[in-house]
Amino acid sequence: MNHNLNHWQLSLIVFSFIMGSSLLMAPNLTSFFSGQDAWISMILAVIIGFLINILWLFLLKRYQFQSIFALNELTAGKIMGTAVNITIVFYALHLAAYVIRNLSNFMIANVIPESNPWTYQIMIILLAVYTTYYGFNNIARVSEFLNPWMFLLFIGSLLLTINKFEFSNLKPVFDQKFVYIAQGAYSTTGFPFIEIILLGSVFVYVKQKEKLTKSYMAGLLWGGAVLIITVIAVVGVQGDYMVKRQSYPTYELMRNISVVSILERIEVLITVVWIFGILVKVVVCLFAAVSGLKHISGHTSMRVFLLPCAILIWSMANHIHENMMEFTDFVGQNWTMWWFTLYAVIVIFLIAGIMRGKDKQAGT
Amino acid sequence: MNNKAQSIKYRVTLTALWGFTIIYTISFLAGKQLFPFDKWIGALFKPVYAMMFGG
Repeated sequence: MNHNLNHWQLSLIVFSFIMGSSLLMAPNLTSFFSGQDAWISMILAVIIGFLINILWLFLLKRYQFQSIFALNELTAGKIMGTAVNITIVFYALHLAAYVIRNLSNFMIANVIPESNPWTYQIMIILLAVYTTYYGFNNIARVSEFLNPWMFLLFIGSLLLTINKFEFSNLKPVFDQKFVYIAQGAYSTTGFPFIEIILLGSVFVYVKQKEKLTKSYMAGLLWGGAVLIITVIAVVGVQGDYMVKRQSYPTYELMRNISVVSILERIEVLITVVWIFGILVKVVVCLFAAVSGLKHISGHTSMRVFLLPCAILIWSMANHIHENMMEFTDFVGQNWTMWWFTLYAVIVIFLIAGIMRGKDKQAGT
Repeated sequence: MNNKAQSIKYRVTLTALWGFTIIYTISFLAGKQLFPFDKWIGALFKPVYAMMFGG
């Protein structure tokens, strides 16, 4: 199993992780609360996400970017550290289940309504298991190959909507009260800017660690910039009245593309970009979960945990929510707080560890 | 840590993981919600959300 990553591959993984799920859902989640000021909410979410991740990286750097599972045991002690590690494993599996449910919801609601959701769920889980089985370097190389094409497809699709963009849809600026703008930012901060802390389980495999912070933050800011541009484009073309009524407004935006009669129904291009982001996200979650289980069990290989984790993700994806409305409502209200709790617990342990000089013992 | 202790930890972890997976999957296939995680999480954070944004 080859898990090694270079700093360029790390940037691309972070970028894809940020794009996965959020690319199609962020405009609705922000606009639902802040209307035409959704883009301000998105900028606010990126700034908060940036600050949260800067602190996260600063603390991990003090511990020489060791695996978060090893650091939890080092800073919180054997029993408490194992409890936190089990919690991280659960968070990772839970997130993977949500991402997969999101994919099947989307396929059933927008692309092929007559099909069975299990088809998409099982296919992407198998792909994620296959990728994780051969090591994290596998998805990093796929990412390296596909990301430029994905970026091109995304920018190309977005450019084709320019003729329908109206600045009047974004006016008046700051029309909403700050509390609504903050509420829009809240729902997109946890998803994806806090859940990305799961990548803390792969930092140990990154070569040239002195460039790690720069590469990670570059990927995060690029991903954040793409989300801001997406929200501006979606609200600018469709208007907030429509955006807040659509579950996947970016996809609906692409449906508007019509350049002469040969360029029609090209919305599926944005789906390709989105599904690739989802695959990266599921692989990161699965990798974090099996790495955590490997650490907890003290076993030499993580492969043995792949099958039960895959089955659990699949059953959880189907069992967590009964319908799409319940799913979206839950994510909008609880997701940021749910992930921030995990972030806060780990950060408190890391800070307490630094105060007790534990950072000097890391990596020795 | 000796090999025996490591082997016990490994067996306990794997058994617990498979055990939970099997129980959860059976509960899903049988349509019984034994672990309503979303409801537990919602109950935990709803008051905080209401306090921040007024519901």
